[in-house]
Amino acid sequence: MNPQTLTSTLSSLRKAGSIFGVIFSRQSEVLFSDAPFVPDRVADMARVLDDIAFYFQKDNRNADQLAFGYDGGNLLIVFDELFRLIVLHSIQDEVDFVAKAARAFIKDYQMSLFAQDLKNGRSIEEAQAAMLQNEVPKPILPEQEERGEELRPTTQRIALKAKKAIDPTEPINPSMLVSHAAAPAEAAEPPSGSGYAEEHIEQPSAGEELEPSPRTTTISQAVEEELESSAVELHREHTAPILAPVQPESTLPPPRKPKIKR
Amino acid sequence: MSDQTENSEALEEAMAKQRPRFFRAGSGVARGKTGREDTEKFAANLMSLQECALLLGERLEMNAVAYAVSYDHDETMGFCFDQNSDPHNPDVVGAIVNRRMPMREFLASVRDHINQ
Repeated sequence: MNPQTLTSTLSSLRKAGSIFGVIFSRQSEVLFSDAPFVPDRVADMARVLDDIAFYFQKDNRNADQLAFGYDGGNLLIVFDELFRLIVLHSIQDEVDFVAKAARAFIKDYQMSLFAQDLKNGRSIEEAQAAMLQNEVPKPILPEQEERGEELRPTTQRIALKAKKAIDPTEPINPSMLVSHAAAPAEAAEPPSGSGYAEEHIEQPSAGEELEPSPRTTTISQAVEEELESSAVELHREHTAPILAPVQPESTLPPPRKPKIKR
Repeated sequence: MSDQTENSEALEEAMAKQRPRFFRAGSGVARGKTGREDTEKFAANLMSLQECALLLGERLEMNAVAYAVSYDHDETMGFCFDQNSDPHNPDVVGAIVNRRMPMREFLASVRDHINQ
């Protein structure tokens, strides 16, 4: 499935029913987004979803579909191996229809990756093994394909604060559980962000340039000088305002002469 | 002892007929009619789903969770808030069923149980 097909298919899904947002991701990498959120928030959503999937996985649970209802809309999340499709829709009753369409899309996408593997010269066994191991060939955008470039590898997440680091061995706090009516216990508020890292910071992957090249520095200096000179000129232009040739004397009514009482 | 027998019979019957087993949680207490183990299972799943709902809702700036439903292997589990309960301390009514029930139908059955 090339990027155009991916975009057109998910855009069609986006226009179906009462859907007002679609986000497709692989682990924490956003592959497609058409949602009423800024890209940073979408990326944050993908990361949180990856954490949630990891949490269920470490519990030996296979939560492959989640649906939530909020005051602002409904959220459906379909998990399939490393792929996640998030759909925002307004009408709650559409959840099963939307889930069916979402799951069909993910299956199609996985099959297209399998076909791409075969096209790239892999044998059927190798392609099947790659699919099972979730080796996903990086999608190449058309303009990058023309330049002969490939997408950079996904950056790695690093937990910033150790005290809230993701710990696969950390059990759920038993005090959080409510018990049977025979043993009443105080309600415990779910801790915010427990088991998840508080913050994530993306660091560039190995091999990425961290310092500008000398050529780049030279170019940037020239650009800066040009901007500076143009900035000075701009300032000079605006020190002496130029009036239009025809100016009204005043927009105010003429002053009234006071009456003198004798 | 008779209560435990009744609970296990209710659980067996619900599992055999693949009917939802309903639970109610509020004020730190969860109640069910299918035994302590099943109720604790619901309570654990409830906490997980509520946590997920809150985390995702924060990102979406949507905080008032109305319901949550999940598929886990061949099981459907979810909850709704009881709108007839105290709004400052609302009760949650949920269910577990040992099949992948359509979510719309699942939520309808939970709401029917609330209104009974």
